[in-house]
Amino acid sequence: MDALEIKTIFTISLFGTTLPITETVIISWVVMAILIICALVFTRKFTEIPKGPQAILETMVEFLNSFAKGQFGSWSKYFGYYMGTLFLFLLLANIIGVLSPVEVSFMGREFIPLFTIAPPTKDINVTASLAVLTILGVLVFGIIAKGPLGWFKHLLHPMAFMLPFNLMEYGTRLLSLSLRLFGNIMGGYVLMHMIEGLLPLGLPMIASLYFDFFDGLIQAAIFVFLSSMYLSEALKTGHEEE
Amino acid sequence: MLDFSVTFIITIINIFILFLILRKILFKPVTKFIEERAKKVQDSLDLAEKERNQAKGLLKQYEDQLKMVEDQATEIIRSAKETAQAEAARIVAEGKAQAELLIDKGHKQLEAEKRAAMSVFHADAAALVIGASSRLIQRELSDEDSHHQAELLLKELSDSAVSKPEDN
Repeated sequence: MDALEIKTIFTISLFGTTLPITETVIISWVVMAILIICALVFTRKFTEIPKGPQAILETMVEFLNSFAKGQFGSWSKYFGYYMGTLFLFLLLANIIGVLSPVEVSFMGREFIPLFTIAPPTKDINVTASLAVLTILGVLVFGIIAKGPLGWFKHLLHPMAFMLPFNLMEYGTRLLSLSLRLFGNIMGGYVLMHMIEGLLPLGLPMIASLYFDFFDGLIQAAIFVFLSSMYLSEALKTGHEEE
Repeated sequence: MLDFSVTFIITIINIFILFLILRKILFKPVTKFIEERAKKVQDSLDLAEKERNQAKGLLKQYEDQLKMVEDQATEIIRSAKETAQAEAARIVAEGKAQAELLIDKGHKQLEAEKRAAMSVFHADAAALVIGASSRLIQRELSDEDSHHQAELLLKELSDSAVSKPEDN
């Protein structure tokens, strides 16, 4: 099960410490590069009457804007684009594994690929850091939006004895966010590896359609929707809660 | 499998960098573009509405003008007709008057001719009567006498006649 290990590609010496740059980080950078290049290419030739990719892009951005408005109200300009970025990153990170060349044993001969592409989101570091960002946002912006007193009152909502549970919610949400994404992608990755080992060439494609594409899309959407919901809940002031 | 490492920090930095870049090159420009186009469409719609209202106003103005002109034309035609009728009536009246004048003149002429003929007849008749009577009485009467006689005779004759010669 070497597939589960995350290889360190190289190290960087910084401030006297060595920073291991793992394959996760490398692939994350690849994902970022693809997103940036796509953004540059698709937004290059914008015309008055949208055609093809421009129409899709506009629809996406408009959906994001209206979604953000509905979720965050007056805060939408701060969080809408972050959620959009998060979704694009997670989507591509979840499904980039399909580009990976696979080990093939054919007629008694082994083809071992030079490199493999594993989805960055099968690394707990990535999912946990994103979940931590979300929960930190919920905490910090909740206090900013409600005011410290209002935020504390909200912890006692609906009754005082709910305080520990309300506090615990931060932890459980953090765990569930990070582990759901990690578990899904990791599970899919492991399963796909097993299927690739068991089935002949070509057949794993059908399984890949679900485990890589569909599950990847769904998990990215779930992560972003839940983050948005937690955040919009935190931003609501007392009047809107009733 | 669950070993936390520096990747955690790097991912946070990554996502922030990606957020800033995508906001700059994707979300903001596209949003701006959409908003600008919406504004443009709205502006052109507003302009079209304005122009339509203007056109409506102009149309009404033209219609009013046309109506005014039509009224004027009707008025002109009516007054022209009236003038023409009056003129025609005047001409007819003039003609009538002239005709009456002519007829009157004719009457007068006729009267004069009648009178002239009458006097000629009187003279002839007198001569005839004188001739006849002188032959009758076998003597020549003096001119005045005979004339006097004839006159008397004629008077009698003309008294029995219908039309009486006036001053004779």
